[in-house]
Order: sequence, then structure tokens, then C-alpha cells
Amino acid sequence: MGRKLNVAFASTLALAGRDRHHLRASGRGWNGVAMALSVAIVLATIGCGESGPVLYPVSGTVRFEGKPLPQVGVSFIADPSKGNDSGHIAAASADAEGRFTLSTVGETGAPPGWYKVVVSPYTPGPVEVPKPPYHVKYLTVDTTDLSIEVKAGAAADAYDLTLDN
Amino acid sequence: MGSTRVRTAGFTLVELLVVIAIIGVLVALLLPAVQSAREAARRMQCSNNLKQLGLAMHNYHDTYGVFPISTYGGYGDPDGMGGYTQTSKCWGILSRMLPFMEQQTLYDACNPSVNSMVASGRLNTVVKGFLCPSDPVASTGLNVDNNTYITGSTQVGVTNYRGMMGNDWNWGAYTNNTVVTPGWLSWGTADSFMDNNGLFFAFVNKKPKTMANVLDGTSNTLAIGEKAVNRNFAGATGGLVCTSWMHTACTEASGALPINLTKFNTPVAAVTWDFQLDFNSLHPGGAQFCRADGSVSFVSRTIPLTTYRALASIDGGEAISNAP
Repeated sequence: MGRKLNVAFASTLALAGRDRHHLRASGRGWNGVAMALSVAIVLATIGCGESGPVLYPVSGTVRFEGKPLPQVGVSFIADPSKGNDSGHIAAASADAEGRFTLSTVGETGAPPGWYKVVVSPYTPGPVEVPKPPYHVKYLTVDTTDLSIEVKAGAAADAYDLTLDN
Repeated sequence: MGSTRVRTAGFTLVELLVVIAIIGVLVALLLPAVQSAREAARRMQCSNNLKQLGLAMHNYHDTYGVFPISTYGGYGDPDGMGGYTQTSKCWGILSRMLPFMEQQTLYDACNPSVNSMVASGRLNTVVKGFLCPSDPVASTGLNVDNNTYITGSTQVGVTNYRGMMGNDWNWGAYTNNTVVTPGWLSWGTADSFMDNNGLFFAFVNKKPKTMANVLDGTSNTLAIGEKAVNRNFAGATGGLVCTSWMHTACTEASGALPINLTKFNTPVAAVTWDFQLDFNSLHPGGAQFCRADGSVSFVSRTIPLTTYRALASIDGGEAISNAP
């Protein structure tokens, strides 16, 4: 880093020296060049941190037999058969009103694309896992028939899930 | 004569100001870099510890023909370990590796095949190689454990490194039934602590793994990862947040849960197990892992969970197309 600094310093001096001999009449011009140079350096070196995937907010309600289903875990698993190769899994647990808000890699939302949806009976920890009232096909990614596309500008109820018996 | 006077060598005020401004910008760029250099140094030391654990794991394998084994005495205690608290012989993988990381004397004092953890008298012994300097707990290396496994507010030497138990997980939002299919499962009969697919799964159905068991390839399998010590865990009953380097249950974490799911030192309810068994670290953006081949690499927390889970299992047969 120190060497880099010296090089920058030297080149600044060199440019300044050049200005002295050839650009006397346009001293203001050189000033502008320097400003542009500084701005360029700042812009070039202020990097962006590693950013995760673009996420869209995904919230919905799980319903079974017409009623909201509380205490379930909802996972949206990227579906490669419909072109979603991202490999991401967005998950959440539904609250007492059956509402869930997905998060992916620790951030709220899910990347756009098609997902298979798995609904698991939610137990907070290793106590007996209750047999779910709904059909067991929703338990694994291979058997579930729930398929949902996450996209911008989705309808308010686009992510609501209705489970069969 | 006066009008054609040659200007003497020197800089104008404007030129000097420009130079100073540019130097100022460069220094401003440098300062944050120095700050992150400190964290980079800590992370490097942390990865060195992981590397040593990887070498110890391989040397253990060379000596005994299997990877280090843990013992666990829950679930009816078929092996007579004396239960699952610190009065039992639930010695974890880290204690088995002590002779392979220049801690033979500590290993002899522990004598896992004979002693319970309490009887060894070494619960509060600190092993520097088990501490990651990025975690504030490393300043003392000690913590007070009061949970299911280490009871009664016992002072313990902590570990920041845990073995991979696999990607099967039966509880909460990140349920992933890959090994144990609910049929219907209930706690203690068939669940992720009864069987799993990680290199260091150590609870019930303990099967010490060999290199030959790692069908996914040793470079595609995570073996040991980081776990920051959460000292703000209020719950005692049913709590899993034990931190001792001795106990099997404190030296295991799950690859089904996203990296850094736990936000550091945020209180978690005693009953939510999700937020207790993830791998997490205090390095920005992810955690470091030692793979089964002994290599250490940083895994970003933004890694697709499907890929991460594939890396967590030893024999899942997943093709990892975008291996990080």
C-alpha cells in the first residue's frame, strides 16, 4: 500500500510539473483534471461488498380446510425443472394466524424464480413431531405438487398456500 | 526584461492543494483497510487452528483407520456412558484428537475411556487451539454452561469449532428429511439425532467413518466448522447452547441450517433448536470450514442452501455444479 501511495504521489508531481511548462494558460483546466482524477480514484476504489441474491418480499398464509394453519414450517426450494438453478431455499415458520414471511440466507425475501413448496409440521425442538393433519405429499420436495413463482409485483394473495387433505 | 522573467522552480498553491487533496483521499482509503487487516489477521489465525484440527483428524485416521469417534449416552444409554450430562462419558471428537495436536498430557489426564468429564477434573481447561480469536470469548476461553448437557452453572473451557453432523434436520422452518423420513417420527425413536449423514455425526447409531465412507469426495465434504459462542442464551431447560470442548453435544452442529442463522449474542428462546445448532462465526459474511481432505476454506453465508447441504453430507451423491 505504501508503494502505491508513493507512485500516486510521484505521478501527481509529474503531472504538476508538466502543467508548469505547457499549461500555464490553462491552470484552471489542470485543476479540473485533478478533480476528475480524484473522483475517478474514489469511484474506482469504493467497492461494493459481496452482495447476496436479489430478493423479493414473499409473505402469505397457509390454509387447510378453509382455516389458517398455524405452527408449520414453510420452505420454498428452487426448482431446476422450471429453470431456477439458483439452489436457494427460502424458509419461514408460520405464526399463530398461519402467516409466514420468507427469508433467504438470513435476509428477508426470496430470489425470483420457480419454487417447489414443502410444508412441515413445526416443532421448535426435539420433542415429539406431530403427524400433520394435511396430506403427507407436502412433506418432501419430491412429492409436493405446490409450485409457485416468486416475481416482482405479485398479487397480494399470490403466495398463499392451500393444502389438501 | 521583467516581462520575460523565467519562473523559478516550485509549485503553485493550487498544485500543492491538489496534491494534498489526493493524498488525503488515498489515506482515507487506507484507514478502513488497516481496520479490516486486523480482522483478516484474526481470521487467518482462526483458519490456522482449523487446519491443525484437519491435520489432527487425518493423523487420527492414519493411526486408527477411522475418523475420531464421539460417545453419547442419551436415548436409553445402550453403551453405558452414564447418561448425557457432564457426569457421563460423552466425550466428543475434539478430546479424541488431543494426542494429535500436542496435548497428550491433557488427554492422559482426561482418559476418556475411563473417566467421566467431571471425574477428569479438566472441564475448565482451556485449549488455545479450540479458540477463534475473532470471538470475544477467546480472551478467556471460559464460559459458564447451564443447559441440558452441562448442568449447574459449570465453568467450562469452550470450543469455537464443531464437527459436521450432516444435513438431516427434522425441526422448524429448515426441516430437511433426507436420512430420517418421518414415518411418523417421534422424538427419540427416529430423528436427526438418531441418524444423520455428516462426517462427525455422533449421537445414536454411531458409526465411525473412514475415508472410504466419504463417497461424495473428501474435497466436497465439510468436516469441521466454526461456531461463535453465544453467551446471551437465557434458557436452561432444553437448551442446546453448551460450549464445552469436551462434550459430544457441544462439538456438533448441523449443515441443514444456513450459515450464520444465529445473530451473535441475540437471545434465543430455549425451545427453538434451529438457532442453536447452525455453524456461525464473527467473520463478516460467512464461516470457515475444514473439509474432509484437510483443506480450509471460507464459505460465504450467501451460498445456496442446496449446495451447502450437499457439502454437509458424506454420501448424498449430489453433483455440486457450482462448488464454492
